[in-house]
Amino acid sequence: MRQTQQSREAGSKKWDRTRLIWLGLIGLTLLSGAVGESGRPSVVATLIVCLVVLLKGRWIIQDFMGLRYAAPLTRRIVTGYFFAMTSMVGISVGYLQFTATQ
Amino acid sequence: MTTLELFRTTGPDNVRTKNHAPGNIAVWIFIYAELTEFAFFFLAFLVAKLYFPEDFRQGPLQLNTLAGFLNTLALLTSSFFIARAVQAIKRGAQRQTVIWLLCAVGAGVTYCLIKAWEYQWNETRGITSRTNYFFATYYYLMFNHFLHVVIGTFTILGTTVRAALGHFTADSHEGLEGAASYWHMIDLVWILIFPLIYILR
Repeated sequence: MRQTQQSREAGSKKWDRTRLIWLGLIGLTLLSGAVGESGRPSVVATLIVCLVVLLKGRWIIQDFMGLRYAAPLTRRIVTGYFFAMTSMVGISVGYLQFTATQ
Repeated sequence: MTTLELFRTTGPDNVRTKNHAPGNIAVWIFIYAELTEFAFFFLAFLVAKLYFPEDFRQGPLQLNTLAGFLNTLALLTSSFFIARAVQAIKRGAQRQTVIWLLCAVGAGVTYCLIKAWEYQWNETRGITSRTNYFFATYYYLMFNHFLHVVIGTFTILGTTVRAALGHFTADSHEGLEGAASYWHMIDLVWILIFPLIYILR
């Protein structure tokens, strides 16, 4: 009985955080696709795409993985890894784009 | 902060009782190992990009960006389904948990079908792993991620069967959380692969 009531309560929350995060992730994917496909590749476009990737990663780690209130070490390792990888990609691609225009 | 404190769950008191590090330590060690593996793939891709800039300038232009975009949507949606399944089991809603997990399996299969279409699309244009250095690293990275999605899909399928058999309850669902964390890891890696391969040129 209690479970059924809880299920109903959860079902009534049409626009809860999880759904908004999912829609936000779809929107950011469209944004990064639009930035990447519009015009010539540039350092600014790379920067925007990397910032979008970082935001998407943050949402997945904290909200979907549920690490927002998890043990700090677990959260820091995953967040740090994603930040390091995205930075490595952004700096490498940005450097190549910058040197190509010189 | 001591090491012990780092492992402890933090957050507001009312949240601390509900939230904790999902799964168990064994799952997280496995996830860290997988992330390390992908870190080497990313590094190898960037080194190859540095040494063969012409291949990497022309290569992405020949790719099926639509397939990459659709796969991103499939994986993000699958992660949403998995998050819903975990929320459902925490409420003790077993039937909803099974339904959300089945939806996630469907999204995983969709990813595989789109990936098969992409490989077929490449093949009709004469693109193989031997075409040039870009496509060699592209296939290496893509096939590896594809393999992880296949493993993840079967893991979620097995978890679905266990959930249907009543192995998980609102108080005990570590196995489900572990499988969910693994699946989110696959999604997290793709979040970076998508721009690296298709968008950043």
